[in-house]
Amino acid sequence: MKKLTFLTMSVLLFLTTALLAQEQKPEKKGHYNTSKFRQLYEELPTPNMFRTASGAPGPAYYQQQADYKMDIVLDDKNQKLFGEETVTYTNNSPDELTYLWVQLDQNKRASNSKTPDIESGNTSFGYDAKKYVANFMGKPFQGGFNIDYVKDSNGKDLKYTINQTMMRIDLPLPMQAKSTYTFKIKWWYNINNHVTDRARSGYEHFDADGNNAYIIAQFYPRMAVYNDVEGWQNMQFWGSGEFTLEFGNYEVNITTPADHILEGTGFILNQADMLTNKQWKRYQEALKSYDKPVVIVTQEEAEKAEKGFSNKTKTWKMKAENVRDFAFASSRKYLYDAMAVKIGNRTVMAESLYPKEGNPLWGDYSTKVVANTLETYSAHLFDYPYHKAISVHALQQGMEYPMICWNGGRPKPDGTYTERVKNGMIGVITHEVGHNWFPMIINSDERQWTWMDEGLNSFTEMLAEERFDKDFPSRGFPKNITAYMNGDQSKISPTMSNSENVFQFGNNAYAKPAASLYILRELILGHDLFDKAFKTYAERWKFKHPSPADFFRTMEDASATDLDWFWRGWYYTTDFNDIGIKSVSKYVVSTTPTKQAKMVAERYGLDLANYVFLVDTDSDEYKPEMDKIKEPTKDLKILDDYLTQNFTKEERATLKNSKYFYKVTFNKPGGLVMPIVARITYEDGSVDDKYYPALIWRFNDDEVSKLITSDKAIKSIELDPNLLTADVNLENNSWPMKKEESKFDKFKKKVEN
Amino acid sequence: MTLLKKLLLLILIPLMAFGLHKYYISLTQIDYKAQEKSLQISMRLFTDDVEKTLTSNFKKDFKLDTPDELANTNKLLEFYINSHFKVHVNGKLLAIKFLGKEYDQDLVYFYIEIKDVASIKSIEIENTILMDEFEEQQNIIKLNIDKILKTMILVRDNDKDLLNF
Repeated sequence: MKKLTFLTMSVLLFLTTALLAQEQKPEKKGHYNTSKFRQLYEELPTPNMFRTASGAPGPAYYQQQADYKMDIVLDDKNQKLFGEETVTYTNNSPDELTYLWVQLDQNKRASNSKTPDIESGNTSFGYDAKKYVANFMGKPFQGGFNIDYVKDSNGKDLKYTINQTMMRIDLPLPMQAKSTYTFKIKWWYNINNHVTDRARSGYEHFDADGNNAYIIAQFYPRMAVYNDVEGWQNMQFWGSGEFTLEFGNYEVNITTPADHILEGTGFILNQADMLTNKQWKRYQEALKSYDKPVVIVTQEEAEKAEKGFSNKTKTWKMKAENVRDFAFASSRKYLYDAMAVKIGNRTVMAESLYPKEGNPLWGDYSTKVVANTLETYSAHLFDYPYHKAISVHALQQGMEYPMICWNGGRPKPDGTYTERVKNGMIGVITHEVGHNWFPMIINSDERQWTWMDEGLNSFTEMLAEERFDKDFPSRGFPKNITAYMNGDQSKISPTMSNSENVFQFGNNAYAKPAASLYILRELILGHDLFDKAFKTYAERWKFKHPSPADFFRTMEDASATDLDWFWRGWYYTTDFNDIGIKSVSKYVVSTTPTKQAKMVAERYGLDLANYVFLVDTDSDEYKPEMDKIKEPTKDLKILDDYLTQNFTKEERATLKNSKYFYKVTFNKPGGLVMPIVARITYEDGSVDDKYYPALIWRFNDDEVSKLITSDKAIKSIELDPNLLTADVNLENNSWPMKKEESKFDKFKKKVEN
Repeated sequence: MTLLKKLLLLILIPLMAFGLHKYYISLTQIDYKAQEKSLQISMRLFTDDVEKTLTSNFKKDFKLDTPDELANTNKLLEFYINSHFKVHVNGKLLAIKFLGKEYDQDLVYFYIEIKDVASIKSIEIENTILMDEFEEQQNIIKLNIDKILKTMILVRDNDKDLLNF
């Protein structure tokens, strides 16, 4: 009964509300703030003791530390890698940890990996025999970690669970804040062929001499990051979202065949014993050679080595401090050269390791490009803190690790190479060496945000390439991303999207953020403000874990420029920029009151005899005789009288003589708010560049007008003449309008002739 | 207006291969010119990728974009394009005409025309160019048909797409 009453009442209440609603007028609807200039309070996390509102690390900022001691054996005969590692993990967080997460990246290549299950497969138009056998008759590669044991420091087995590329180690006792825990893992895996596998690490096999060149990375179980932003960053490694790692110290002994040349992260403590006396002497020379590389292992020596296959071994003793990862390259095929670079008051070694197949290109360019990158990045960010940077040549590669990276760019077998192979190689070396800053030292979360290292690095790469060759065909210019930005919206993601789930990875996470920073520097902040802010971000977050908000906030904090509109448009939306000239109206000065003037005069009781009027030459109020007034200040008595009475002759001569009046209306078919950059060319050939900040759009997102006055007639107006705004449509950028035939039409004409 | 010219040259540069991983991408712009009853197609690809694919298919050293480029490159290219790029309009497979190619830095542009297209009610594009060589190849198609802009992203597993108007 009670229920029924309630129901009846509810129905009544509903009816009453419905009736009331009907009576109300619909225009009573309000709205939330939808301005494109509103602050990013809803998008950015609330500042806290870990990360401040200024974008700097806060007083309670912490990060974990993971130190590794490893004994590694490279089995060149069977392409296997064996390792025993001791991990000492320091919990600097205020939290108690009951388990640890360890990354097993090699498991992406395990025969039971789920990565292929989220990829796709289809038939090819045809198969030659080799491809047929490889595609349909081969066994799946037996990759992935084989874990022999996980033990505590006393040798007692620890309980662990593997979920694809992540391993959870359950701790016997919870780990308290500020405590350390040591455990051991023994493992081995089959090394993959990175050329056929298209992988970031592995070996390349050289059929001609039967040797392998190994580029070894993600090769040991690595601690996952635990921090105030993600807790455990244990998102699986599917393949696109790269790595998120803690800083730590490394002691690594690597046993290789005795005829191998090896380089890797950190110091080689016994390098003198690893090289021949002659080579060691050449290395000492390189330490003092600031103008050109010294070849330490020569082509002759490498060619001799690649003819043999030593059954003896030697052990390289490596030590690295404060690095977030460890990688190495090893082969008997390697040549090795190095030169010294002055960074601040320190000497850093720029080095290269390459098989003879890379020459002459590699000997000529690699180490010099490394040196240029170290110098440019140090100037823009902070001095390179490590003692060396190595560029290793590996086919089709481009992958970065602390102090060492793999780079492609190979001449043809006869040693010749095209300009595009050379430029590709210079570009990739600059990019990968540049990664030493982003993310190796400014240690952002790659698994979550690809743009934070790739975007910022692609931008800085452009500065280094420009320094190396001022006409270098860099790719991150704003004009190069317009085709991407005005594409079908269903195939574009905002840059603030997870690494694994973006359409058009290269454009989304490399080119667009790089171009956006280029625009910020060239057009919005200018070099001084931008460079200081960018450097401040680098200084604040070196050897730490920044998040996107820390970057956005620092750029504003150090420049006194509210950029929330910029971050919102470029990073949180897929909007593009398209600003056009809608119309240009010419006005003449007249003493004949316009209709509007008469209306105002009547309403407020003004005497129009004391006024002059601007008349739109396109309006019906315009009469040809109005053109007779060529010099308004002389031809119109009320102006002439006023000037004569109030200014001396000399003063009058200094006044701006406005004779030509234009109202320019800009429209904005694009969703982004951006500054208006207009180049005005006058009839006498002189040029005036106008810059109206993005805020001009704050009250009207569709169109805005400006009155432009001058003593000269305007011949033409062109928007964004230097192509700095990524305007996707240039057809509406000119007044008077210009038409250009398409690339297709031009080519067709050429062919038909 | 040289700026526009420049832009048209660069507008199709795909911004991939930025270090790290090389991105295997091509970009095809398809414009329908109703007055001329013509589908105008320009396809932008990396010269290196094209060279590698042609070499695998035809077992020849093409030496693209060099003075020694193989004499019948365009013929073989036409054969390759014909077997990897198919356009159906209103359900009918149309004959394509390969006009030629043009190099720009590390890129190559193919120009293709389809004539006598009176109207478009539906268009299906199949583009497997370079996919036989590169597993990760993505072929992006941008269509501009009667002022309607559409993008298709074609990959091995999904190498054709249909649009109805």
